Amino acid sequence: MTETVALDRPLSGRDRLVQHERTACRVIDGKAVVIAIDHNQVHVLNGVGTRVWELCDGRPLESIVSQIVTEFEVEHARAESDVHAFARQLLAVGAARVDEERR
Amino acid sequence: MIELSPASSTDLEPGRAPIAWRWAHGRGEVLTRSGRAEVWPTASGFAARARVGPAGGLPQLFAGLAALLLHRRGGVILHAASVELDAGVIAFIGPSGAGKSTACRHVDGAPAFSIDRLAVMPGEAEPGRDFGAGRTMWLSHPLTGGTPLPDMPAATPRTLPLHGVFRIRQSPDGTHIEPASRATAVAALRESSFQVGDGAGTELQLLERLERLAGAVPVARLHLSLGASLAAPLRRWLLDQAKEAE
Repeated sequence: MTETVALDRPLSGRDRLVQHERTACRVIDGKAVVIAIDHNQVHVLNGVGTRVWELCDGRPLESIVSQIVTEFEVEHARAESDVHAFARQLLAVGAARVDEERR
Repeated sequence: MIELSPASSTDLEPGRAPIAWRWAHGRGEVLTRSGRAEVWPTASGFAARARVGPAGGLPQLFAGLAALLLHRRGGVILHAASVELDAGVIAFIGPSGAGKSTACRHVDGAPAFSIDRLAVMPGEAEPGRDFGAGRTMWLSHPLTGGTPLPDMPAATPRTLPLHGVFRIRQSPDGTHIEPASRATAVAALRESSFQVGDGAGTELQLLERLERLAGAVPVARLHLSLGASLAAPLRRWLLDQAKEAE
């Protein structure tokens, strides 16, 4: 089992986020329903949040930002700020983790 | 503007899940913090045996066994108070204290069907009963648990179609029913479902099952103001849903 570890440093664009192994997810009508098993929580993500979640496949955070800029009408700086904030939320609720081995 | 915050986030009810359960070699086994139970098929149904510690916990073990058997039939157990209305069941879900029993009391003339736990499972439609093309009927059956409502008559325990599920929120702003998106409906159902195991695989299986349930049975948020009768608004809303489904 992979433990959820709080990140005690700022996220960088080079950090690679992966969906936590202890989650279950169904995307329903474009919204992800995510169960964080060890946190006993269920989350419903909105459309953009769902896309970010889907992109948490080990690619660098800066790559996720670029993808969001490409797919949605949003400036890079705003996307970067929002994606980083959302990534922190995903980490805090045990839905994602940083792949420290590939940093 | 892009919005990246989770649209909603809800705590599941911890402590309701068995530590482990499995079905192997023709037997089901449930392990909780207080004991262990087994169930196996017999010629006339099922037999079970349980062993609990001095702290008790037999109801949790048998709830685990019931969940295990129901899971094998494609069903789930909801933490729900419900009433029988118009030959079907209206279930109210939400965390402890949300007002499920209170909602039951507000459905005039409808006897209490389940107090705490409701087994729901896909079933065959009754002859002559039209649930719409391609729609699966879900059946519901009350399970023991919870404190009976002394001021409400109890319905005869039997299996009836599940007509609707309502996630309760008490509201000072009047009683109204708010449609839930399919994703929100699944999350609300999951919040009130008994866990079926501890792994991502069983969670995913449960989510898929709840998605089928939410596709077949109307699920909505019910904002409840004390004192307002619920029977008429529930009937009206369910009728509208049936018309939409057609």
